[in-house]
Amino acid sequence: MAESNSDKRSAKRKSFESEAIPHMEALLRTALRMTRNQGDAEDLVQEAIVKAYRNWDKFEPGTNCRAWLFRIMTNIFINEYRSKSRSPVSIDVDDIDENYLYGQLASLGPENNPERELFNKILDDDIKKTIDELPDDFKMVVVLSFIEDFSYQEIADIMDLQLGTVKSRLHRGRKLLQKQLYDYAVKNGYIKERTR
Amino acid sequence: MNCQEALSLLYDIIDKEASEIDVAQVQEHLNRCRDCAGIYKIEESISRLIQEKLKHKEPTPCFDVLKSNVLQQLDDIDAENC
Repeated sequence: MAESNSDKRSAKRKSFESEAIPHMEALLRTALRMTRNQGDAEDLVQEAIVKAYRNWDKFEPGTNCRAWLFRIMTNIFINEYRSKSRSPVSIDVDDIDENYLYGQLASLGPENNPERELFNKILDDDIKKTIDELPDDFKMVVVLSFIEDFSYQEIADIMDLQLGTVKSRLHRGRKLLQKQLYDYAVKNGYIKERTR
Repeated sequence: MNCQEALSLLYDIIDKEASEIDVAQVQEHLNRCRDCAGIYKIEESISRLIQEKLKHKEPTPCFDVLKSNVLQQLDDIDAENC
């Protein structure tokens, strides 16, 4: 019967709007970092939400809807957007000293909180730019962990990775981020380069 | 726990992924090792500050437009299933 069909449809729409749509702003925030481009980010979110809606009957109520949506969006990004938005700079990940930023900051002298001073000068946009320049593999785990607060296990599920891979990418992503932030701060005169 | 063990748990602890036992043992090590305590302090504040800056809410003027476009697409899907 037409009426019961439409009741069913509106129930689906209602539950989707109350459970999934509230996560759309977070999806956009992450999509902006992944694609580095407003237009692509909006397309990606739109595609993810539409796909999620079409598959809403496969979502198990009571499980983590936010992680489910991020998994859908991440898959679309990896399959369709990634080659388009490949990072412009290639960075040699292995060429990083373990405690890079710590070593640099500790050498800045006896002032209290050298890191606090450095970060006061670095702007939100500077940090976003630095994240944007990370290679995709590292950027994605960094964004999911740092911005979206997903646990290691949730990130492993979202990206279809082993837990150990998530941990090592996050670790190296952090080191890359620290190195680039330091270089960036030196370049802009926020801090003086250490004399060796 | 020695320095190497304490530092290997650095990010698990910062990311709140470490077990209670590890947290307690690392804390005990940091109480007696200034070098490791210094590394933990700087790494923790770097992570926290990066997070604060990244989460700083961006003005998203386009969000409302995007949302209404998306809801329109859902309407279309609803209609095609009629």
